[in-house]
Amino acid sequence: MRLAWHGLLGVSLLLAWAGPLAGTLHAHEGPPFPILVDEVDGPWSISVWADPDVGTGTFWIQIEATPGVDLPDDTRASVHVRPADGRLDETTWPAEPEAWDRGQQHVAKVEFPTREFWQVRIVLESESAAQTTERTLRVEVTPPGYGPLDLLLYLWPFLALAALWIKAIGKRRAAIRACAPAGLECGSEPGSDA
Amino acid sequence: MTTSEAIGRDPGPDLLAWPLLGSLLLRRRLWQGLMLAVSIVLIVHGFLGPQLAPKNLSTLVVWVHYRGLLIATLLLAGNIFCMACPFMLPRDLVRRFTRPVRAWPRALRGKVPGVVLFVFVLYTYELFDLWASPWATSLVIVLYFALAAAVDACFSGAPFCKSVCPIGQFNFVASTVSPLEVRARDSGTCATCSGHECLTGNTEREARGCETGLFLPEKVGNMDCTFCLDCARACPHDNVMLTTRLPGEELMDDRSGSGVGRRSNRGDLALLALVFTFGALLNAFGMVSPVYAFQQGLAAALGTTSEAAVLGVLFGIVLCLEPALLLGGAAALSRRALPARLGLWTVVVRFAHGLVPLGVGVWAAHYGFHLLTGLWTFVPVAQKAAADAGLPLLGVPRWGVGGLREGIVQPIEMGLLGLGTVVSLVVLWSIARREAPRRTLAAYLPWAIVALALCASAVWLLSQPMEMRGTFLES
Amino acid sequence: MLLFASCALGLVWLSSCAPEVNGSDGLSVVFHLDPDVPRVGPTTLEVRLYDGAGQPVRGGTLVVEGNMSHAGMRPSFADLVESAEQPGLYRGELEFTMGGDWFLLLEARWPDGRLVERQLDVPGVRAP
Repeated sequence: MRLAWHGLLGVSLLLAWAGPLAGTLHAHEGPPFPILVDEVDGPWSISVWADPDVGTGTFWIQIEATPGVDLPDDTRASVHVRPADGRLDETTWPAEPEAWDRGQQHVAKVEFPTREFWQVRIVLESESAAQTTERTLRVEVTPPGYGPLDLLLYLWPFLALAALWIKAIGKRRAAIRACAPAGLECGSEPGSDA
Repeated sequence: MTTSEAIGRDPGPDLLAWPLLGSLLLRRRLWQGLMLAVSIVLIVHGFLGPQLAPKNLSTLVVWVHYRGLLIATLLLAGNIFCMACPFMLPRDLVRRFTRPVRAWPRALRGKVPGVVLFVFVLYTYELFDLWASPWATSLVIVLYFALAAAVDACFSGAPFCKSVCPIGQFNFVASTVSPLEVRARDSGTCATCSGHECLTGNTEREARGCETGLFLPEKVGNMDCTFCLDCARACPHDNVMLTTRLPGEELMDDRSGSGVGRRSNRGDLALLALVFTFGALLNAFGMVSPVYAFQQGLAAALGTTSEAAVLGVLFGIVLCLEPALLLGGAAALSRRALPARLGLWTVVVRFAHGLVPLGVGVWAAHYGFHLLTGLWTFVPVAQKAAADAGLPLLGVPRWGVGGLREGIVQPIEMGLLGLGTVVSLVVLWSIARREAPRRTLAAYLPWAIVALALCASAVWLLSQPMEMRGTFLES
Repeated sequence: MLLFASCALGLVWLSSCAPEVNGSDGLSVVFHLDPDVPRVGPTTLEVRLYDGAGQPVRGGTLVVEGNMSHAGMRPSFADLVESAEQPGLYRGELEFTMGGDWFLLLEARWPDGRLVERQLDVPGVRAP
């Protein structure tokens, strides 16, 4: 059992480094997440994915055609942001078109100076379709990198595997120790060597 | 009674008895043939295709996909890539004519030649940027084929696999944490067997015995086992199984195994385990940003512009100086707790295998990163290669496909590293308990500190920005 | 060992080869990156095309694919647009996604339909 307890200490260490890791792994980023999914307005079916990091945040605006309507080629997208408490003026960031198999994708890089909730306005315009639409969303901007809870979420399969292995190896070593006095060649514990 | 029964262990499923999988696993030539075909494609494309690493199948498949899949199969199954090794086909063909009877020289037995070549491959990889050169990568493949055939054409047994092949030695060490193992189904049947065909071969079945000299009833773990399943084909009692086991357990096991002996008596095995572990850190160090500043500082301090010299010093630091300090220190501290007065190297030999899971974690994190972030990059390159060969069957190349985002892969890297560290800590505890039953903690702590220090350095390495450059002595 | 040693010698010879920016067709490509010392992140790429007489080439279509020298990394792409103020100057933005050695494959289609391809080496892109 001491082996099992000892292994659990190892798992604790694994957990313990999750905290400092979150601060040091500057190359690490959480995956983008959707903030708007398949909202239909005029000729557009709009989805928006966000990676709102302090510093530079990224928004992917994905536009698909609605049934029976062609997607306007001249669709322009832009992102307008300001802190949710309204203390600063709104700033505007153009979204650049990018190749996308299923329609059009526009990517906007937005500067977020502080960690807090921001009001994000997504605007789509098309002159040929004579259409403009916008959606206003509230987004929490966080520092780049993983927080301890994010890391725990990502690492839990490994933690579960480690715990299972430790439990199994503990049982095995206990069984080997139990069979050693019988003179059987069944492991490497003292007295059991061949 | 079998050992498994004696300790209440389920003998586990026999994968060789599974309907389709079993017969496929036993068809080694099929897998070798497939791998040979792939190798030929890589060699041809490496020599004749575009000399741009990302556009060539040779560099792409060897350094991104092969290495990643190699470590993945070792972690998820076993030594499958040795089983399907294509180098064995021309080697077996040559042997039909040479029929060697001379034994491999005694001085070269063991793992030292393999360790030297393993370090040589790591060194040339960095010095000549093999990862960036399709032509050189193909040359390396050809040399592997030639070396396997040359060594085994002259000497009996399988000295290339057992002592020479750097990939084989890598696989042997990593397979100690594999979940599959080839072993006897029932030790009682082996006890009544007089032919020992698993070792000597079976002429009736036209099956050869184990060429690396593993006698199945006395085999312990995966060390030196190529998963070739010659033993399974040769056994007249069909008493060989490919079954599951607890990964890493054999590192705690110091019984004397057939063809390997007792781990704690094998300095060459310990050397291999240490080069494997520290080499993992060195190889990962070669692809992060700080290595260039370090190397430039080193070059300035040495007053040289020779990359070979600077790289040699770096290798000396990481593979000789650092292990000497860390392991020597740990051995000096832990031997005070051991009941017998032992030399420092003897203590290192006994504990070295405890660091292997950590090494596997670092290799898996590194190679896994390349595999997962570049998972689909072979698709457009294969499409282009087929089109260039006049076979545009695979369609228009879809340049731009990649793999998983780095942000998603990096937690996986950390998870693999953490898992390896936990297993290492437990294995080291078990070794300390075996070596110092009365003062286990005192014997264990120095080694646990070494494992945690290596883990911390690996965490630091993996958290550095990637920077893969061919030369470092220019601005 | 001898085989591996011969491999090493072969590699020494190989490493002495280097690509040219200007081709045998007399056409030349001059490129400039901003920032001058390339770093990970978006980089402005300016390309000037000259014909055999040294005159700027106007009305071309330029596409750039950036790759790392290590295989398995996702390439970056950029379409270069001709400057209205300076004909013959093509400009676009390319993202270096990782530090290390990069090379750019420039595909320039002449107004008359000819296709010119060049490889531009960008060694030592700095990590952030």
